[in-house]
Amino acid sequence: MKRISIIMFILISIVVGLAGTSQAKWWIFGKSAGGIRIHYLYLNKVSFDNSVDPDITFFKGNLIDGSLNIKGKASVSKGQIGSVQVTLDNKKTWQKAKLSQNGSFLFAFTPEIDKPYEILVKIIDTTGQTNDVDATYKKLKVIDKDISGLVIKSLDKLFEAYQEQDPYRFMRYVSPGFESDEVILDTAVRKDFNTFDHIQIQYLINTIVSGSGGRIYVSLNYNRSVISTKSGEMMSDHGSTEFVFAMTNDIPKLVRVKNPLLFGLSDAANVATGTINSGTNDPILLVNEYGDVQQKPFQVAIEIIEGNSVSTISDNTTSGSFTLLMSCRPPCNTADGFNFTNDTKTTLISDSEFFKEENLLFGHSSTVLKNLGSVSIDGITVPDTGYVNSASLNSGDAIAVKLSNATYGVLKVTSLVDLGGGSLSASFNYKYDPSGSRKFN
Amino acid sequence: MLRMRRLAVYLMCSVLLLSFQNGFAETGDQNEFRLINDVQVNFNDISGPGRSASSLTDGTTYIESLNIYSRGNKGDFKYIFNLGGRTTNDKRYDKAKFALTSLKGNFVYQNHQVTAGDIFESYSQFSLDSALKGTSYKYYNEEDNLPNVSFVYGVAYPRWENLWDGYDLVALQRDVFGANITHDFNPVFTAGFSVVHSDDSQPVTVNDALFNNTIYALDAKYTPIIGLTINAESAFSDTSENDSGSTNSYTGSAQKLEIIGDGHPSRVVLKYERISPKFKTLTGSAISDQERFNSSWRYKYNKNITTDLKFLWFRNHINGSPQMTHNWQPSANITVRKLFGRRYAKSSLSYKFEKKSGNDLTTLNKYLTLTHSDRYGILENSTSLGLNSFNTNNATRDQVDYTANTTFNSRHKKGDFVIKPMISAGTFFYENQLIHQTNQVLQYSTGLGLDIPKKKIYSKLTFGQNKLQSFGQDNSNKWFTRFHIYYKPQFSKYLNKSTFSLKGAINDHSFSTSTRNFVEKSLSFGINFPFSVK
Repeated sequence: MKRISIIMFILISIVVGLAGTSQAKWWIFGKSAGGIRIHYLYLNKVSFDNSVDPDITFFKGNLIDGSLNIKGKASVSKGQIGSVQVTLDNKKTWQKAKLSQNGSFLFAFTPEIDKPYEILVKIIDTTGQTNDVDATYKKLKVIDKDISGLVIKSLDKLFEAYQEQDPYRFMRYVSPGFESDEVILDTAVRKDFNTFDHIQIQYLINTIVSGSGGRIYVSLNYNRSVISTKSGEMMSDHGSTEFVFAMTNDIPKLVRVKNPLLFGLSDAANVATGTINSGTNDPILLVNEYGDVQQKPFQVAIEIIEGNSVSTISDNTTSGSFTLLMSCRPPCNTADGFNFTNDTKTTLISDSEFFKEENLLFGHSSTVLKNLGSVSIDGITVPDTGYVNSASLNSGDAIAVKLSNATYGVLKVTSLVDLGGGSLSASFNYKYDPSGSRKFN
Repeated sequence: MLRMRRLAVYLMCSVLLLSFQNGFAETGDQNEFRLINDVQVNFNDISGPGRSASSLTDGTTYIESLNIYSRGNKGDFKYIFNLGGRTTNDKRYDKAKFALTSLKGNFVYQNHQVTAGDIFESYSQFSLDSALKGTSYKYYNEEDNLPNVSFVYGVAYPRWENLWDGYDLVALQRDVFGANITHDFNPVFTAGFSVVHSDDSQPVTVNDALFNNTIYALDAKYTPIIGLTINAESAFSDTSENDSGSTNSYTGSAQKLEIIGDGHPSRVVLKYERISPKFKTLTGSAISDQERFNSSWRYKYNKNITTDLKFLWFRNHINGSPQMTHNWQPSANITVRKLFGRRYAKSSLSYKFEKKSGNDLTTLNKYLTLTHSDRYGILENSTSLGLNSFNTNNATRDQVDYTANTTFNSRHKKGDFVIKPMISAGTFFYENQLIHQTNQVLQYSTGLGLDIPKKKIYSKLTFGQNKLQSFGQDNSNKWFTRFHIYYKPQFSKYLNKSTFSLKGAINDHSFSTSTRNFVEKSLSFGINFPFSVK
């Protein structure tokens, strides 16, 4: 913390120091060779220096009374500001701005829709010197477009780039001011593309609302299916989610996403800055640190994303898939296993509830197992007796698991791969109900 | 609380009715009326033993949306009214057969503004930046430079159906009250203070935690010199959480400082955020228990060369718990236009590095990407190459990816026709170095666009294949064909932006396990017609 504070202090000192000299090449715009200094210059609330791009577009719907103001203040080291003139047609005609004694000035006009205005501001002091007029150039247009239509266009582009797994095109529609950080979303989306194939998302807009700060809120329903590149399994979910967009150079760009996420699932805890107020508990997709795709009931998924224990959830089945590779090795305290209670894959036997040993699963901490043969685990009711300490692994078999706290889980062996040298990789789909129910949907 | 809510609903209805009534204004006032109707009918046929995996609904479905928008003035009154609804029988998209998608009335009279229905107030990032169903009032007076004052009351429901529990679309009731005062102390310094209170009731399930939360936030913007902007926010939250009958009260704080230096040829951003573990915002935006610092420097060396350097550091679980993780993500990017003097050439090289350590795990990921686009005679090409690696220290993940994609496009005009052929191919190798297995994705497609701009007809047909060869798992293969035709006729001056669309797709999915195979055939027909009167 101390180190960070020192770094912050140094960086801020550098910035303020550079600003203080006004010689930093980045923002010397306000000081012309003639000595006229512009303290501020705004077109409505948009600063003239705020963007390298000189094109500004206003939406008619955002102009309360349809008019635009150019507001500024200038001073000169010797003498006074004599007049301020504004051109709307690239220097063809000039109009006088209202000038106060202290150098502040105001120019108001009502723009026509779709007409391009090329604006420059000329400040003249009493000795006849002027500011760097060309540095104030802005091209302005007021358009009467429906903001909803523009947002839908951006959404279409985002979904298209995401489905085609093109991170460059995707990030073009993400704002540099993305709240949980543009860099985090970029890397999370790249991890998504590593994890998913055949991404298909359809969406339907519920609500689009323009906000007071020029932001746009979108609520939508989605319908998604993906194939996990790791397990080859096809998974789908559907539900509602929310986005917030902000206008950047006339394009609505994404600034916020909430859980359930449609983009950046691979780092959901650091990408989403909130969770929608959803009354449903339909399963949603989750991706863990290792690129495994899981499907969890909404509330369980949010608990996992927010880093809380899932054991507090008492009436929800958890489900997903995992692969076990490492078998027990002398002195036999490590082996790939799984812990239903924490919903995690384990490498220490002491952390597991069951673990793999060659082509067998062994229970740990009084966990017992029962091989049910080649049956589906969808809609199954597992038995309450007949469990033993181990179960053999055969591709396609279902295995019931009974934990020491009398809760039940069920596994389906989706594949067994002989890696040679006695090594075996076993992949499973699983379901676990912490309520103690033996019935699985 | 109930009386308060009723009062707000009455107020909201009154404003909405008033604004609608103003739609029929007297001669002399400026008014505008728009109606947009969108109908889509889909025919889906899903067959094969694995058809339950399809994300489409089998059979015939429809989606009909209607939006009414009115804007104008009556003397000094200015109003905007918006009403939208939708009906669908596709339950995958929406449980609700009939849904109210928007309802908003906005009134401006001199320095007063009232909005009711769908409102989206942005007080500040940590306090209120969410859409609500409710009412807001705002006073502003820029001419006399008086403070802007705003009050809001609403319910944080994502959709209107939650208000009357229609179609089982129930959501927890979160009543929100807020007030904000913002003042431009001078043209270079603006500060605002917000108080936002949320109160939860009517849980949907027994597991729903109910929050009673108040946020006090102070935000400021300072522009000491042209090109330098400093944004800051400090917020304090007071929360009471009722979870399964037990109540827990706690407080937290959040700070943000952002410094932006912007002017040709550079843009520099430094940002620091610290959100304490117990800071809770239900209507703003924050990730609790996180401290983050990032810096970025974009430098336009000249018209053709731009460099971007970024550094991000953040940590979660900041109070030193064993779960604490430190994350470092530096990245560098260089974009060069007109490479070797070629007019349309654009190349970009980026490198990202991601290290996460803590909580008994260290992950190290690297991303290297090269993209290049150019025109070669009649052909336009865009190519990208990527090399990514993902590693963990506990031998759980050691993986390298190689990606390559290339697309060739062309455009030819023959009389009234514009022909746009396209061919695209991509591959993705995913090598798991722990068990020496490689998965491979191969995708290619070819397409032909045909436009008749004079007749306002635009169409495209695409055909392709996507194969996933997954070591030791089920392989998958998808053949796909898609087409669309858009026709934008001009019926009359009132219906001159209508669009007729016809879209079709066939996706043939097959797997090593043939019981998973399925085929999706879909055809959809849509009409969108906007009608406007001024």
